[in-house]
Amino acid sequence: MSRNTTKTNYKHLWKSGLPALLVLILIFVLSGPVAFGGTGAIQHQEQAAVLQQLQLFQGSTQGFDLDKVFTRAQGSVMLLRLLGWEDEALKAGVKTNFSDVQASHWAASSIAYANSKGLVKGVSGTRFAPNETMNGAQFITLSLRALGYTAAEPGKALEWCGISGLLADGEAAELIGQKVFLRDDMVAIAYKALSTKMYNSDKTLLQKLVEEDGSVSKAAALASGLYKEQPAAAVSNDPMDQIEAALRQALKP
Amino acid sequence: MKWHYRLPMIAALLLYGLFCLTPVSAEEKSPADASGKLTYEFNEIHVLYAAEFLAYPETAALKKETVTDSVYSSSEPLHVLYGVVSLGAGGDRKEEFIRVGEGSEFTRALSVGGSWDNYATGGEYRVMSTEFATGKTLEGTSVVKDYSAGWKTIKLTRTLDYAGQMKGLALSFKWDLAGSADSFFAKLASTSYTVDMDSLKQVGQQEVGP
Repeated sequence: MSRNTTKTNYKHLWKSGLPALLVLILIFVLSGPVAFGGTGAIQHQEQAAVLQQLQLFQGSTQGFDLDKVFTRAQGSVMLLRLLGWEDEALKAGVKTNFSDVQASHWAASSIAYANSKGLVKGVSGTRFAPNETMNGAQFITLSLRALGYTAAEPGKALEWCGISGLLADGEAAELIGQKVFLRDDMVAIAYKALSTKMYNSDKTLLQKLVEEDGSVSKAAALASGLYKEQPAAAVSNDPMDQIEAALRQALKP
Repeated sequence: MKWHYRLPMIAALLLYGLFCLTPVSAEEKSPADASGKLTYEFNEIHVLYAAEFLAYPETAALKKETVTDSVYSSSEPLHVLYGVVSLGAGGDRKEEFIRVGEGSEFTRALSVGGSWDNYATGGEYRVMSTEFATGKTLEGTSVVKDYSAGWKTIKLTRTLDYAGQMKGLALSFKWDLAGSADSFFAKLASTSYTVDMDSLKQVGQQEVGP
């Protein structure tokens, strides 16, 4: 093939609209439908900011680190936050028995407390493996337990999602099937959990955290858009209701 | 006046006098009606002590084959709310209240009796038991005792040290099976429960005994 012929072919390709086709392909790839998770791209920056506003999620000096893997230590802390128990864990001062969780570990009190409550287990009798990664099924299970589904297990996370309404089947399957579970994926699940109704209750998890546990401020919850203040319930004339309400009020933190 | 006129009058005056001299108790203001209900007055509620805790069925270890079994079979804990309140502006009428709930089902009752043991474990602890009956409840401004639905009782036992710190809680249920069907209470009465002391939240001071 001569040099002239090659030039002619390039010109032909140029004129035939190949560059335009390439640009179209590029646009299609970049603007394709956004998957729930599993693409490796950061998709839940806004949700992370909402969780931070609710004091349920903290980043590092580098930001939210959403592109980093999610660890078992971080999972223990997130579970306690979703349960509204983080302060209790700090006050309880439970010591960990795991040889790989030193007292100076940033999540030691949370791991010890969650373990003492039977919420998280070690990878063996003596090791917790705090820096090992948590997978999607495991974090879904922890979120389900925060929603009151205490019998939830990672092996049946998909079925539990269906029953609880935490995630649609497709979303759950995608997160469970991921090879690498990122902090970004955790944010997606935790954010969804806040708007999911608690087991056997008309209240969402966020309503419980605000109204029953007092671990999330009402102002922050209202600002998040995930919470609406319920109109004050009419005061019951039933004196048994009134006694019950008085006792609940006395027990409020 | 002849004697046969005087005697009925004297009898009537004696009866009136007896009626006036008899002290009228609170309950006698609204004496028992035909159904056996007793009522007396109160108007305000003051919380003296409040506690909530979880109690797990001792059969909770039963294996659940499916997720649906796990969700809908009952190994869920009971949520118990217990408290001592004084009723009335003078605060002189004390009542102990209990609510036991599981999911959307619950039962409530007021205390009908109790016992003390100040010598438990060699005098180290004081053990208080309170029996609650679901048939004792409040309606309007009255306490109503209506056991026509059966004698359903909840026994709550508290073990406290002499400083008043709660050291143990136990919960049990009994039903004489009289009255109409009550599947929730039937389950409570046929199950043994263990209180999770870690779940205990309380405010106020539980009385340590007489």
